[in-house]
This record gives sequence, C-alpha cells and structure tokens, in this order.
Amino acid sequence: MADAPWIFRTYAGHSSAQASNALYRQNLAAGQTGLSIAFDLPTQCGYDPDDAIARPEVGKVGVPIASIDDMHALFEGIPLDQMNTSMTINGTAIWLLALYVGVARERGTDQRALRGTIQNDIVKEYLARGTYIFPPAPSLDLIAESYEYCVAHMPQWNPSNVCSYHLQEAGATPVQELAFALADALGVLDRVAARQRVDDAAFQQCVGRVSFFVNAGMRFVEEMCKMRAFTRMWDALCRERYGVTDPKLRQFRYGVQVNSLGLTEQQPENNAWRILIEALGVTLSKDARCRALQLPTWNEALSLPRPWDQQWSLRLQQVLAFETDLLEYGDLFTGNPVIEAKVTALVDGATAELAKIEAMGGITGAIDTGYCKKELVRSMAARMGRIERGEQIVVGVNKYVEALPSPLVGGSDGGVFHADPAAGDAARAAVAATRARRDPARAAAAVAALVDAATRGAPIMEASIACALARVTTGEWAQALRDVWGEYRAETGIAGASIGGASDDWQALRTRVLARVDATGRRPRLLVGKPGLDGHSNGAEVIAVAARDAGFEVIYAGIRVSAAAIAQTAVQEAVDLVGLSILSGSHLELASAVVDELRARGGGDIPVVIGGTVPAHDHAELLRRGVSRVFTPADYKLSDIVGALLDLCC
Amino acid sequence: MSLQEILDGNVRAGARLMRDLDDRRPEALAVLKQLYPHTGKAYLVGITGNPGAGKSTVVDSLIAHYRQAGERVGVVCVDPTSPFSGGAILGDRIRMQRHALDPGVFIRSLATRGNLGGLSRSTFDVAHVLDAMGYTRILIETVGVGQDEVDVMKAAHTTVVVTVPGLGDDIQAIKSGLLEVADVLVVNKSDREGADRTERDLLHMLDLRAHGERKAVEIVRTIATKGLAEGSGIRELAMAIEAHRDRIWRGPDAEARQLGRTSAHLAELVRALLADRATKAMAERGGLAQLARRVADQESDPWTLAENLVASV
Ligand code: B12
Ligand SMILES: Nc1nc2c(ncn2[C@@H]2O[C@H](COP(=O)(O)OP(=O)(O)OP(=O)(O)O)[C@@H](O)[C@H]2O)c(=O)[nH]1
Ligand SMILES: [Mg+2]
Repeated sequence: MADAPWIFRTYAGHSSAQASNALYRQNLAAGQTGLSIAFDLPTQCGYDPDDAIARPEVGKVGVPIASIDDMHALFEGIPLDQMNTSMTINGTAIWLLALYVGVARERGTDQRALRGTIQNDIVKEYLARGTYIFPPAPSLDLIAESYEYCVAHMPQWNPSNVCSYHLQEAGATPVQELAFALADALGVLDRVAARQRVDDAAFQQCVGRVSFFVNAGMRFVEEMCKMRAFTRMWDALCRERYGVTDPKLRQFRYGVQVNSLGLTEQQPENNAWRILIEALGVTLSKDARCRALQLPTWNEALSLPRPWDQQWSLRLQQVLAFETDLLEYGDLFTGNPVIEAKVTALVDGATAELAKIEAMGGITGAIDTGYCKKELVRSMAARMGRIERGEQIVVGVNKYVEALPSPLVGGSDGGVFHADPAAGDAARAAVAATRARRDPARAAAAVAALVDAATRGAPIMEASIACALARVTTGEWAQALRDVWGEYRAETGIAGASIGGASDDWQALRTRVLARVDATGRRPRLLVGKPGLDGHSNGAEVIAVAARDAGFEVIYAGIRVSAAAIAQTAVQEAVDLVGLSILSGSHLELASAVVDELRARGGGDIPVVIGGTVPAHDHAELLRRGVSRVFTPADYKLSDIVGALLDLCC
Repeated sequence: MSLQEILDGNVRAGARLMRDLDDRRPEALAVLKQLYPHTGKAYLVGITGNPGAGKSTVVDSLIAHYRQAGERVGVVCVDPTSPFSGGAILGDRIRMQRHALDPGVFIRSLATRGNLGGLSRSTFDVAHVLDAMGYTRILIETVGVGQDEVDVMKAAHTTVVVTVPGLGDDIQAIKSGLLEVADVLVVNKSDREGADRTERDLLHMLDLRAHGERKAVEIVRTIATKGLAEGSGIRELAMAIEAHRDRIWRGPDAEARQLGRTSAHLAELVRALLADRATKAMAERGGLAQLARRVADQESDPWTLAENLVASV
C-alpha cells in the first residue's frame, strides 16, 4: 500500500482576521490539510496597529492580530480540535500561543486536543529573520518555558520549530545550515535541562518534541543528502548528548519550505520549474521525506501571492503525491555509494563546524560574538559575487536573458497581489473597540501579574493566557516585557564580508571613486537603512558591503528603524545619499515618510534611493514622491548599482 | 553656514561643518578657529578597548544616564577605514539607535581615514564643534584596539577602557598601551562567567605597574545591555567617571593636567600638519614610488633623500 502523503500547507494571511479566515476556509475546501499562518510585522514584532512604527505595515505581509478578539475572528468556523495549525511567530510566539489557548478556552475546546506548531525559534531571528524583541537570555527562557508548558498541558503541540530554512535564505551553505540549526536545537534543549523544571522522563519528551523547518534549494541532490545528514546527526546527538533511548524520540521530524532566494524577478514563469525541482529534493527519498511541505509561487520575487498563485503551487504537490508512483516504494537511495559519500562529506563538514560553535560556548556564544552572522553574510556576499561574475548560472538573470514577454504578468493586476489599503484603519478600529469594551481593571491587573512573573524569572504562560482573556493587546503584552528585559539589537555581521574583488569591473569602479575623491576632496558617504519593521536584511547588507568595497563610507543603520530616525541620522552624519531597502510592501508610505522627515530637518537636498521588492507599477509614483532612483532584484550586478549611487552623490 | 547657526546648535549646519572638517576643507578650519573661544565647556570622555568589548553599548547606556541627568550629549564614534578600498563601514551608532530622535543627543560617525591610534584626524575637531554647539558631555569611542598606541586619548578628560571576561590567560591582550591610558577600567559583559577572575587579574596588573605611587584606577563591572536597569553597573561607571573628574579636574593637578591635554592635542596637530607637507612635497617630486626609484637606481641614499625632502618642507 502506498504511503500517506506529507501535509500540504500554504503559508497565508493578509489584510485582516476576517479576510484571512475566508482565505483559510477556501484553502481547506480546496484540499489543503493544515493551516500555516502568516502574521503581519507589527504582530510579529510586538506592536499594536496604532503604534507609529507599525502604521504602514499593518496587514501587509500577514494577518494583524492585536487581541483575542482578532484571534476569534481568524478561526471562526474552524474547529480547533480538528485542525493542525502552524503559526510562523517568534518574538511574540508565547503570546500568540496564549491567544490560541484563550480562544479554545472561551469556546470550551479542550486545550489538550490542540495540535500544531509555533515557530518560536529566536536564534534564526537574530541571524536571519529579524523579528526578535528581547535579549538572548530571556528569549531562550521563553522557548524553554514553551517546552515545559506544552509537555505538561498540550502534548500534541510542537513548542518550537528549529529553523534552518531562513538561514539558507540568508545565504547559508548546506554545511552551515546543518551546523547552525543543530547548534540552535542543542541550545534550546540545554536551556530546558539547565532550568531543571522538568523531570527526566519529561525532558526526553521535550527532545522528542523538537521539530525542524528546513530549506531545499536548486542543488536538489545535495539537498536530499542534507536531509539524510540531518537525520543521522540528530539521532546521534540525541543519543550521545541527552541519552535518549527511545528511537522514536530521536527522529528528525521536519517540515519544508523550498528555496525562494533563487526565485527570480526576470522571466518569473521559470520559477514554476524551480519550485518543482526543489520539491523533489525533499520528497523523493522516503527515509528523509518531509512531514509537511510549503511551496512558494511563480511570482515570489514580484509580490505576495494571489489565491490563484497559491492554488497553482498546491496543485504541484497534489500532482506529485497522487498522480505519480512516488509513494509506492521504500527508500530509493539507501546504499547508493554516491549518495553515501555526499552524506558523509556533509556530516563531516557540519560536525567540524558544530565543534567550532561548541568551543564558543554553544549557539549563545556564537550569537554573542557575531560569529554565525558574520559567516552568513560572508556566504551571501560570496553568492552575489559568483552570480555577478557569471560563475553561478541563474537562467534568465545572467544567462539566456533574451525572452519573449511573459503573458503571466500581462493581466490587469500585473500578476501581483494588491493588499487591502483599508486594512490598517480596520485593524486600528478593531483594537480600539477591544480596548473600549474590556474591563480596564482586569486588563491592568493581568499586565501587572505578567510583569511580576517576568521580574521574578517565573513562568509567564499562565499570566499571558490571563492577559489574553482580559483582552490585553499584543503591543501592551510586549511593551510590559520590554520594560522588564530590555530590547535587543543583533549583530549585523557586515564588517568582515567582502564582495568587490579584483575583477575589472570592480577595479574600474574603485578608480572612478578615487578620481572623484581627488577631484572633489570628498569621500562619498552613504546611509543604508531599513525603515519600518522589515527584517529582510540581505539586500541592505550586500549593498553596504559593496559600497564599502568600492570606497564609500557607509553608515549602516540596520533593520527596524523609523523613517524619522533615518532622516535624523542622515542629517547628523551629513551623508551624500540615503539608501533605503524595503521588501515589506510598504515602500510608498515609508519613502514618503523619509523624504518628508528629511525636508523637515533641512536635509531635503539629500537624494534618496530605494531598493527591494518594488513592483514596476509603483516606480513612477516613487519618483513622484521624491525618490531619485529605484532598484529591484533584477539589478543583480552590484558594481553597476554602486556606480549608479556614485553618480547620485553630490 | 554661519558661526551663529553653529552656536545656536543648528544640527544641519553643525553636521555640515563636521563633514567639511573631516574632508579637510580650509574654509571649515577657519570657522573652527572662530568657534574656538566658544569651546572648553564640555567634558570629554574617551571610550576605548578591545574589538567587540561592548564600547558602543556602554556609550548607549551612558547616553541614557547623562540624559536623565539633564546633560546634552555629543558622541563621536570611529571605525576603521579599509586600507584596500578606502571605504569604511560605520556601524557603532546602530547600538545607540534609541537616542536617534532625542534632540539632546548628537551622534557622529567617523572613519579613521588612515590615521593611527584608534581615532580619525578630525575627531577632536568634531568634538570642538559639538562643544561649541552646547553639548556638555562628549563621548568619544575609538575603533576596537588590541594593544595599539592610544596616546591620543590623553586629549580626553577621562579615559575609560572596556574589557570583557573570558580573555582568560590572554588578559595580557590589554597590557601596556591600553592599561596606561585607563582612568577607569570597565569589565563589561559581566553577566558572563569569569568576571571575578578578570577583575583580579586587572588589579594585579595595576599593582605591577605601580612603580612608586599607584595610579588610582577604579574597576567597574557592567552589563551594558541592561541599560540603566538595576545591576547594569552603568550608574556606577558614571560615578567612577565623576570621581576621576573630582580627583583630577577639580583637584590641585587640574592645571597641569589641562596643559598635558593641550600639549597632546597640539603635538598631534603639528605632527599631522608636517606629515601633510611632507606628503605634498613628495607628490611634487612625483610621489613616493618615484622617490623610491631614485634610491633603487642608486641616485641617492635614502637618508639624504629624506633629509633634503624634509628640509624643503
Ligand atoms: C530571502 C527572503 C527572506 C528571508 C530574509 C533573509 C534576510 N536576512 O534578508 C527570510 C526567510 C527571513 C524572509 C522572511 C520573510 N519574508 Co521574505 N523574502 C525573501 C526573498 C526570497 C528574497 C529576498 C532577498 O534577500 N533577495 C536577495 C537580495 C540581495 O535582493 P534584494 O533585497 O532584492 O536586493 C537587491 C535589489 O533589490 C537592490 N537593493 C535592495 N536594497 C537596496 C538598498 C539600496 C540602498 C540599493 C541601492 C539597492 C538595494 O540591490 C540588491 C542587489 O541585487 C523574497 C522574494 C524574492 N525572491 O525576491 C521574499 C519576500 C521579500 N519576503 C516576503 C515576506 C512577506 C516575508 C515575511 C514578512 C513573511 C511573513 N509574513 O512572516 C517574512 C518576515 C521577514 C521580516 N522580518 O520582515 C515577501 C514580501 C512581500 C511584499 N513586499 O509584498 C517576498 C517578496 C516574498 C513573497 N512573494 O511573498 N524572507
Ligand atoms: N552578554 C553581554 N553582551 C554584551 C554586553 N555589552 C555588549 N554586549 C554585546 O556585545 C556585542 C558587541 O557590542 P558593541 O557595543 O558593538 O561592542 P564594541 O566594543 O563597540 O564593538 P566594536 O566597535 O566593533 O569594536 C553586541 O552583540 C552586544 O549586544 C553585556 O554587558 N553583556
Ligand atoms: Mg563599537
């Protein structure tokens, strides 16, 4: 008999709880077997929709959830005890879990019957994803507490999902993905062990509850071997480090989202093939087949997907699982010497890298010193360099670039998704209504109890559920804890990386910069920053490194900076040019805000450029709003980009 | 830009003047000279120490402290220029982001641009502008230094050297140069293991160098990431800085010490100006490579050539 297929998921959520609820019901009706929830950035970073920094981002890249009322609306008509719900939530993970439990309690659903996952992986937020809030120590404690709580009260819930997915999206090589993710998992379990709040049997259950979220890229044979290497290493680590005897608890359980970094803006239809090939890497081999699979869509590099785009990708999974004979066989690769050799090489490389991290005091040490982040930026920079020089072929980008116009982008919507412009106002109205309706004394008491628990280093889950039931908001919950634990800023890792080598293009560029310095007596100064809550740092990082390599002085303001702070920095630093990187879809609002703030500070003469995910139909509008130039992923030659920046420097 | 704008604290005007000074514009130097009589009110605290020790985080927390105390704070932070490209990544202020919109705080990043000693040549010019703009507390962060010469820090009123636990047996890493300039020693990241041991080692080393009278150097433990929260040690650090200020700048040696500060600054200016002229003189003779060729071709020995060149300066 054929094996049961993996779980088909589609990562989705936008605009409002109501709109997302409708989308989920539609996807479930289409045969999807689990929910995967995308939250908007304010929810992920712990801000209410009426917070100044949150305003432009509300409902853009996911659903806004500011209180238990929104959570009720999100799951309306969906029986929680029959659902497998995966929530991509990290900095505020334990809060969203509290809201979910709160909904179950108010509905009278048994909380022990809840099944699903909160991503709840802070390490990769520091390294790649950017939606962290608190410093490492309290953040890891929150994750440890989720394990303690779930093994006791929610036995079918996965308290965290250790992610290597995002590391690959930030440039990680397979060996780095293996080593960093495993070190991350060990860091979590070591923390649980050190807290001594669970007995030995429960600890072994905690080990068994660790699940992973892995990436699979275009080198699909190597990627399949990577999954096998993961399985092998995780089994050994559980056995040797934690003495786990039950092999079931040592299983490497993983879900996958296939690689999106390699999906291109140019000839976007080619991405459909890329996604198919990537999916094969994690399904072909029975011994290392994923438990759940999420696929991006053909228009990944253009904008968020529309429902039809998601349906097309879901159909890929269904065709693969139900029309082919894939699920009828045992493992196809066991004993194959080529595969064996590759797996061994990956295991060896990752074991060495893991030992290096252990020597730094484990993953927390490697976060502290910035080691992992530096290595990732270095890998990302190397990747960009290879593509720029044509050493790594990307069809449609640096090879076979001539093509007929794509009919897929020819429709009236340009083949891209348009978020509901009224989402922000609706979310603000909803949170205002919740605040107006609730019992203020009960809400205040719940927050006070939360602060008290956090200050004492006691568990905060029950206090958080009490906050949820008292209709405390996401922003209030997070702010209370910020006040106790402080806010963190992760290492940027950019100082050690380099992109511009000794190639002719780069030599010529450096000569141009030098000539300019000689002629004007001025070394170009560039500010690179990311306004809003957007955590996509790859673009900003490589531009900063590239400009430095060309001879610019680069003030790097990093992620999650307000438009006003960027403008003030530009003025204080007397830069020649402000470079914004925006991939959150809020480019129109944020660009206007930066330009206005610059003018208000007497810096209206400083030119502003933007790079990132900016759909073509917005370019003219950005120029009208005072932006000097727009760059997109199609501009992949960094030496050309920096050359253009030089021309804009006064 | 007018003198008055700077004295009024106009941020855009001040920042532009700093840029012009950093770019060594002669007209900017003229403005600086005019500003000079309006300076001398600020207290300069130098922050130096190993790369990644937490200097910027300490500065961030000190800003919060001085702001609470009602002072206007200027910050100059210096990062290294890449010798390969001449470019630089200036990333210190990212740790001070929460003060970005505070009108009582002005943060300025500088690249070393080939200058040695952990600071750019323009650092004290910029500090003077901040002083004239009314910032009364000026924090100067050097690049991360190992045991390089940080002599120029003598131009600050109080120099804080930041170290971390876990340098282990390598505590020697902060020997000589760094320890010599320290008025206050900070063991930051004392949430990590080994802070006791580091403190003991530092005390021991201070005793060792105490030929005759032992320099009074306070050692303060901090967890800079905790900001001003209980147990961060930042208030204690500020108190140690004030104690040093009282001892030296409000004590009997103040005048001598002020002379020392001015001497250090003056010596630096003279050295730099002479170096400029030498560079120019070399350029006029076809550049260093050209001169070297004359030695290689045995037209001259290097000593005579150098003497003649300098004599012409
Ligand atoms: C990699 C990636 C990630 C990584 C980011 C890793 C990192 N540290 O950067 C991870 C996995 C963490 C991630 C997460 C998310 N992502 Co994402 N991600 C991408 C992806 C696949 C590639 C982006 C990238 O890094 N490209 C490589 C860099 C080098 O290219 P680039 O940034 O475009 O930069 C180039 C140019 O644009 C330009 N440029 C860029 N910035 C600047 C600045 C200046 C000054 C200049 C001159 C030039 C310039 O130069 C660069 C050189 O080529 C895109 C889709 C795609 N294929 O483009 C989605 C995408 C950007 N992500 C998206 C979303 C929604 C998210 C999430 C918000 C999802 C969620 N709801 O949780 C999360 C949360 C992230 C957060 N905190 O904000 C959406 C954004 C939708 C929109 N704008 O409408 C996209 C478009 C995917 C999609 N179709 O849905 N993501
Ligand atoms: N655990 C811990 N980490 C700290 C502390 N202070 C700073 N850090 C971290 O140490 C890293 C380096 O901090 P910075 O303030 O950038 O150090 P720096 O000395 O200015 O670094 P350079 O300017 O690059 O030489 C960051 O990740 C900080 O969050 C502390 O007291 N405890
Ligand atoms: Mg620093």
